[in-house]
Amino acid sequence: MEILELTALELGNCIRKGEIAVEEALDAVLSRIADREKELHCYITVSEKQAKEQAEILQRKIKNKELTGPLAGVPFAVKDNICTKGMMTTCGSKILNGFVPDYDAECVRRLREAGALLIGKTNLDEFGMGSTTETSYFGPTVNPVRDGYCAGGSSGGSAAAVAAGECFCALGTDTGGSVRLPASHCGVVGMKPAYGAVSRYGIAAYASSLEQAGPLAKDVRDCAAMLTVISGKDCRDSTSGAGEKVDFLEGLTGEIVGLRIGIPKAWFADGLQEDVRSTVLTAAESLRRMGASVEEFELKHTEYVVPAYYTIASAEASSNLERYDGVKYGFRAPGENLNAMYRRTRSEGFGAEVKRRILLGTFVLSEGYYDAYYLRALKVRRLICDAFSEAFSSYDLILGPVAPSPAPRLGESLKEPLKMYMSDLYTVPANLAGLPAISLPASCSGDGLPIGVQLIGRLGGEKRLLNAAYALEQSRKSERKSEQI
Amino acid sequence: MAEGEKMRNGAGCSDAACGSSPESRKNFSAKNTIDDSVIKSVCALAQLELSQEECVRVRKDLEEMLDFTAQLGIPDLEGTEPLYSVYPAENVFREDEVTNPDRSSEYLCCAPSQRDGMYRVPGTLVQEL
Repeated sequence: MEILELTALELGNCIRKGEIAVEEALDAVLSRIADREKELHCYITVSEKQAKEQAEILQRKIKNKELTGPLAGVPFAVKDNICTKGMMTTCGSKILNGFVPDYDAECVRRLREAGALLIGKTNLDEFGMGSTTETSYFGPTVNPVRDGYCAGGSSGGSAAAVAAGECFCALGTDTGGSVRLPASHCGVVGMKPAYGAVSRYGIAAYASSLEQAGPLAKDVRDCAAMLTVISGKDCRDSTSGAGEKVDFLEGLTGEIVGLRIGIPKAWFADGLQEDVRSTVLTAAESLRRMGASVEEFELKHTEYVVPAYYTIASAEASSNLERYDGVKYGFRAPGENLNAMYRRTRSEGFGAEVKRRILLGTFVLSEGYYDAYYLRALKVRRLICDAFSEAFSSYDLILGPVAPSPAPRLGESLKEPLKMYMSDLYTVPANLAGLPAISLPASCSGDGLPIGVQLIGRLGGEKRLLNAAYALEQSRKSERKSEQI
Repeated sequence: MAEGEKMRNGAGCSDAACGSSPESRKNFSAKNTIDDSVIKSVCALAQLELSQEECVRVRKDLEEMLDFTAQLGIPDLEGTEPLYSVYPAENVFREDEVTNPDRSSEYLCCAPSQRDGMYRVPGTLVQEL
């Protein structure tokens, strides 16, 4: 089998058995990058020299049994809003172009400690603000499945890199769907863990109460393996959860008899493309055949999720991005005095979408408007959380689309920002409520573009969520094998 | 004072002033709220300066987005507490002891300009040209 066709866990297994060397796996990835990267632009930085040096070290440690974990020696990539020691971290922005952190984010540190091999930093919408990876200062990422189409965003570079074989797995961040949406558009698996499951230490903050780092990978088992490594309490992130370390690979049996799954009726309103609708309904049928009960239900307050999300996220962004002022790091524009320097640095350093969200966020937090916008959005957030709590009293999981349609053409979405925001309708609820959610490939559109489905679990329900996703994935694999026969 | 006038005067928009009924909140338009003085004030708070062209575009974008978010005015939120974070937020305390080494010189390496171990920036009180 071609090395690049292996999953991360399969590769890790081959490396541990001595069947494939770490350097071989790295060479295969670098060769693929040389072939396709110019066309796809998944990466902002590829650290070939560092990766080759590290590959030698890892090979020795694996041979000596100093590293025995399932991801040891596996090449992975990291979204460029996550700090990596000695490797440029730009957040896809001019304002951080050239910035090199002197520390690893905790999720990166844990993957490196487990022996995974970091090869580079992937492209993203600037500061994670976008759904198409087109707002990056460094240019857009192209969907590897079909030229001329978006990879989704904001973790589009990570999703595209996994889909194109330019890495075996990757880290992204999900504030309003930014792991799940590009995963769906590129035909890979992407997971947003529950809020607090993974430390946010070292992740450039966009909306601190909404975002989580999450894995993007070729299959559910790879996602589970990555989550096992990166999750768990970190004393440097006071919002990271307490509790023992969990092995998320354990319990991936595919057994889902008796599982109760709900599909929100409101998610099937006008605007949902027919092939996406039929994909979700087909997934529901597969789950039923495997013994789960699946039915529609009324999920309250769905009409408020997007306005609540954008009000809260923009408010938090306007606060978080205040730190980019040209004083301590990054880009600095000249100014006659300090205030002029601040204004020009930020105005020249940020792109249009970032400025739009900062201004909206500043407005809703300002005197006279705070109560009517921001405070109301927070109260509506509680209503939305309560609606999900009510749903989870009757159901174990929620099934739905990831996006109203497959990947749009490059350039289409930026003309109508509000329409782009509405495409987050199915993903932002999990962020508002802090719930774990996963997107997995389920079908293709008539144009050959991947379509994913989404499962959402209750707080603390990652294992059940991953198992159901695994069951659905295995069921689809069997169906495709039967079709081929 | 009419509600539209309150907004145009920059008097802000309290929860009540945005309309006391779901119907009036539904009909709220941000065109009454976003004028040049609001844009100027928000830009000053955000430490951003916009070109004339950007101002026109931003005003239109903000109006659209605020009209969109005005839907949040519809549900009855009497007695509902705001939810700032799904994770119970508690202050984290530790002993007041230095546990990390002094790495200030390493941090200064990232700075656009530094001198004598300090970040160097333009003066605060210098007049703009």
